[in-house]
Amino acid sequence: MTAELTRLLSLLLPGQDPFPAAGALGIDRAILAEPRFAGPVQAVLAALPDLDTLGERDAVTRLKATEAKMPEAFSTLVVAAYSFYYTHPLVLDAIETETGYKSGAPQPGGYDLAPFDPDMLAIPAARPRQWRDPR
Amino acid sequence: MPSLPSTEAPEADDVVIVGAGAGGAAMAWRLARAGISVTCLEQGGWVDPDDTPSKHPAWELARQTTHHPNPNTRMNGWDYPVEQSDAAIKPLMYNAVGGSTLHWGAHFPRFRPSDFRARSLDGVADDWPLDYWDLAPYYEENDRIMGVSGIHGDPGNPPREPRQTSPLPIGEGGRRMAAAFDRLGWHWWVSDAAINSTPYGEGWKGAGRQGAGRLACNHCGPCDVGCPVQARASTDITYWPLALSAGATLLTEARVFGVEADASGRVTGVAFHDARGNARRIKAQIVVLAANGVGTARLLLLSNLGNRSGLVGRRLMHHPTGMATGVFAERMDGFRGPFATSILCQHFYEGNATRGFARGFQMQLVRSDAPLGTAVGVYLPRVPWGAAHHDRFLAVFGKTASLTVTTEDLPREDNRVVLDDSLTDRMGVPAPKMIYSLDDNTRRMIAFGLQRAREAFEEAGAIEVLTQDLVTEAGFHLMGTARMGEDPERSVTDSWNRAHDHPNLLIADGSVFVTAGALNPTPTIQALSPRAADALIRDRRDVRGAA
Repeated sequence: MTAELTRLLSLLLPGQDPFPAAGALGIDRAILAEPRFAGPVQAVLAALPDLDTLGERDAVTRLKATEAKMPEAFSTLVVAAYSFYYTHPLVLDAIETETGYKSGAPQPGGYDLAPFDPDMLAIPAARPRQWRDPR
Repeated sequence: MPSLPSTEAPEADDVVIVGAGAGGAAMAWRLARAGISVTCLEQGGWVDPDDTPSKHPAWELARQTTHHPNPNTRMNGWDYPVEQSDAAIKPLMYNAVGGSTLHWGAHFPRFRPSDFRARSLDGVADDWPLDYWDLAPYYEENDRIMGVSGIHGDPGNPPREPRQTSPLPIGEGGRRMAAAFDRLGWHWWVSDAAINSTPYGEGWKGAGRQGAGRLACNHCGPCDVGCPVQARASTDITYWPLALSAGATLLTEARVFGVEADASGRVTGVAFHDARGNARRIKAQIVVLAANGVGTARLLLLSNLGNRSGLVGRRLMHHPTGMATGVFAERMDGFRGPFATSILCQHFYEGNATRGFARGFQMQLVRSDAPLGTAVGVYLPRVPWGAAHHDRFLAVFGKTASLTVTTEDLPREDNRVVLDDSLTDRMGVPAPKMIYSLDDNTRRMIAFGLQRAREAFEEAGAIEVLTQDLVTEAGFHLMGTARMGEDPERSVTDSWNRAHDHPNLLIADGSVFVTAGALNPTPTIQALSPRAADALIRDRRDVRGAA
């Protein structure tokens, strides 16, 4: 089951420098262990018994047909793949490399932001009343 | 967490409140402060503010699993399932001390005066049996307890006292959109948010936080998974410390499954399952239901109470929301800052028949998502899988801002909460089912709003604008299922939240809303609740003398 899922994951999220392929991250077992994801992912895999015999182009075509045939389960598979992929340290490092996004936890550091400038309200503050008074 | 209170339930109390969220907490504080003995039963437990996924690098995974806002997805043992197959908008809620304020974005607008007069002003729905000015002093007091950042002086709303802390930073996306609104001549204002921009309030002193108080927001982003600095208000760190200090009793993991009444129609108490699964009963002179617009309707239906009008569970309202997202060439870095609060455009809020729909909508600027949220599609449509995935992800990540088109949902009796025929909670108690669809008025309003949002993003210089006609995972405002009114044949409670059919049964959550407005309901729930408590306090002899 996990070998088939590994192939499937790399079709969904192929490698592209600096991003690793999803199938190379060892996230297949974690996906199958997550209660929200396990059932739908297994259902999609069951609908793709010959995936490992297909070349990449045919495999992608088969996936698209499966997505059309069982959209809800396939959507959950995609959420599962993205969820474990985009929280994997190697992927977060790649995002940091490409965008500067800080790959660590948001807390306790948070982010610096410029304070709000009240002068920005000059135009809206000068308007007459904008609400209806039913009294 | 041994320092957090979880007390044994008494056998009887003056007042029993069901639910420790926004409305229940405010009710408990107000009554306890007046010396009335109160016990609150909450089916969830305490959540330590320090115990948040945002302290871990893989925090976004929690949003899709353990901290998902939909109880059917989250599958937390404190929750009950909600049958949602016939619901165009899915239920979002949280069951714990603090209720759904533990998972909210803390956008904190008040209803406008016109929201209480939809029938008189626009000829649709119904008027409320009270008005904005009845609630105004309660809004102010609630602001002081929750702590609101913002700035007073908005000509879009009635005057109010200075906010407790200054506005939160609005970020680059906020600056862009504010300037665009100015050029378009559309009114906007910085959002009121129940989030500290500077330290305010004592917060929860348990769980190792003795004396730390509620600190300033550090702009980490995901308010919805918890706030370890307690900058974002939730009732577990605002009202509950006050209520407990005043003598209220709070019993956690107590799952109420019925309200009991005698032959005369007076309620006598509630039945609940305790943390060990034992069925128990607590007697009360007054019962207050504050279990949200789904949970309260469920309990009334399970108990066969309060339904002379036939409206219990009916007139379910949400805030149907469309979403427009602008993609910019430059970085917006909208993952910095509280995700739901920045600026608010109410230019199209008041009803205007020339627009082709009744009532109006707000456009709330929300910031952009972190990596997983961007890829999986919350504000944006999902980034497609396959060979082009990474290029598309990099084209949009951190470069977006989004506007909600949050509309007023007119009440319809066929939108409703019922008891499901087969689904139950883990104790075998029938689960609620939501039956809900959008009407044509709402669809026209969303379409109009998305066009306006597109105009705003184009004015702001977006290189691409993407829209979603309806955000389905948006059932966080649950309203209308036990509406208030003067006529017992056409409403469930009176204007003081008392059930017409049962003078000692109150409802203190969004169930009582007559109309939904197009603004976040929590400040209004928290204004209505202590107002209802004040009526009980005035009638205190009834509380004491009805044994």
